[in-house]
Amino acid sequence: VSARAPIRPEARELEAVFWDGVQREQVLLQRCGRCRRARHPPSELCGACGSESSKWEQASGDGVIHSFTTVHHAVHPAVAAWVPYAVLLVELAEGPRLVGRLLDGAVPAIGAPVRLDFDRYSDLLIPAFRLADGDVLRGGRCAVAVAADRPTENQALR
Amino acid sequence: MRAVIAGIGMTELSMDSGRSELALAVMAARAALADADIEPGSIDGLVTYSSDAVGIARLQRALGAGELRLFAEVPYGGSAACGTVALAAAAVDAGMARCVLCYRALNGRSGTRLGRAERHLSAEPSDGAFVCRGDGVPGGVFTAPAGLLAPVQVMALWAQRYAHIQRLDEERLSRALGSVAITQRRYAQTNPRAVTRGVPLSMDEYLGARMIASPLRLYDVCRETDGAAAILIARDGEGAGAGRAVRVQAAAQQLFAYSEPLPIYTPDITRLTSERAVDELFAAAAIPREAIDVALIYDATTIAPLLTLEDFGFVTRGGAEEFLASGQHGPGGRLPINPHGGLLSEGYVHGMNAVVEAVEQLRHEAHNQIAGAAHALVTARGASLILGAPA
Repeated sequence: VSARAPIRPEARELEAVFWDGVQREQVLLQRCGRCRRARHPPSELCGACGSESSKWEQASGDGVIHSFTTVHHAVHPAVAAWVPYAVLLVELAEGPRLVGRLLDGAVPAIGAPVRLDFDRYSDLLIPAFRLADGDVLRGGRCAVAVAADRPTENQALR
Repeated sequence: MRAVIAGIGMTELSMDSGRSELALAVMAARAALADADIEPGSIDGLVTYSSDAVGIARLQRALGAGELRLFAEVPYGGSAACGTVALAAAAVDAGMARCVLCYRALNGRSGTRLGRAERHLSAEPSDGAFVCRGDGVPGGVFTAPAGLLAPVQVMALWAQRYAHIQRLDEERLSRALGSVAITQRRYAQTNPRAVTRGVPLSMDEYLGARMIASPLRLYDVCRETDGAAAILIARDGEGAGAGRAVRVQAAAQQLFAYSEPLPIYTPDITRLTSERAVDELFAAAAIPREAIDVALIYDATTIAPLLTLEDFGFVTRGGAEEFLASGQHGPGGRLPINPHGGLLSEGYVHGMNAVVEAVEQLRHEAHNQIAGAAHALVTARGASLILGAPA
């Protein structure tokens, strides 16, 4: 459990579905009922096909680092005790991108496979990532291939 | 287009204006009216940024403007620097309004600081924990809990991805970014408006500065200042700003899908605008890229000029490093960029000061005048203008 204080999300509606899932150690993505594309952040409609039909599904937790930054300058007292910290933009195996911290002071690199974990506060979980280890590394590489094969909502535009 | 920029106005830039944003807006607006030699009662349109603290009707009253035919607020941050002018020019061109004032006023240093996260987080009364809400940009519920809280951090994600795609190691990326920072700082030394005048910057100082959000260091990030700017758009041939009205040859807004709640979900985060938008802009202006004499690029951080040079085809994809290394953005270069010092070194009026600079360049009244400047490109994350010197 982190000694740091969290930044709490005050989530509403679809945001709350996502954050309730996180508290059960799940990252929930919406899967379009018509075109089957996965999406995050959540939305009432599929941006690729317009369908209002979707189901929440649990993300596998595999992904690769799409980009990252290591934050050295605290832009708010809430993160004064966090710096330096790495923020990742991760492409999940299902396609959508998710933002989360890299845990344990590991060194990030674009393309590196990561595995979902959680930043654990006394009464709150926040999605975060660890670099995938040897075994999971192979899973991570697999995840890259999966992401390329399954179009996401935003990739429909490419 | 039949729209022209008939007048420009800008306040002093400072760390603490000691004035309300309304007072700053009125000062800049009056300066623009005086510049165009027209009366406040002639204004029939007001356009500003969604984030501006000065409401349109409030400025209308304080300024003594007439009945309005057009009023609008443009969202999505700094792109409104060009978006406001584009909208005003389109309305004037279409005959919907005759004399439209675009404005931005902010106490960006002494008041709400856009580089910090106080505007996104609030303290809970019960235990003092900080709470984020909705889709604050950045700092919404899907990003703030991970500590992604400020624009510089988002742009750092763009920069890191760009370096990866172009296979630039940290040293080469830093030198390219640093070249933007130190060249613009050099321009600022001879610009009396610049808040960094008298404070030059060397590559060693740039590289030695502390990291803010890797790969972006202290001098990769723009200044925060108090001030206001105003741009007056009128119809060509109707007399406002007679003889030195700058022509709006083309104006466009551009927004990628999946830009919300934050521009990290677009398919390619290393593009600030699309090929389609750029092609249409030059086609509308009926000039080739080579005809652009000076570029004003929205430089909240140093990565933007690199991406913009490539997006607009001034260099090939990955060609920004060589362009910058050979000083083509500096005095006497192939394409001088931000010769006022930019947001990095002149100051931050949320990009509207770049439009002011473009107009001064085309009137040949700029402090760092580009000899014979006939066409200027102004661009802010997709929204863009091509301006032409007075006929």
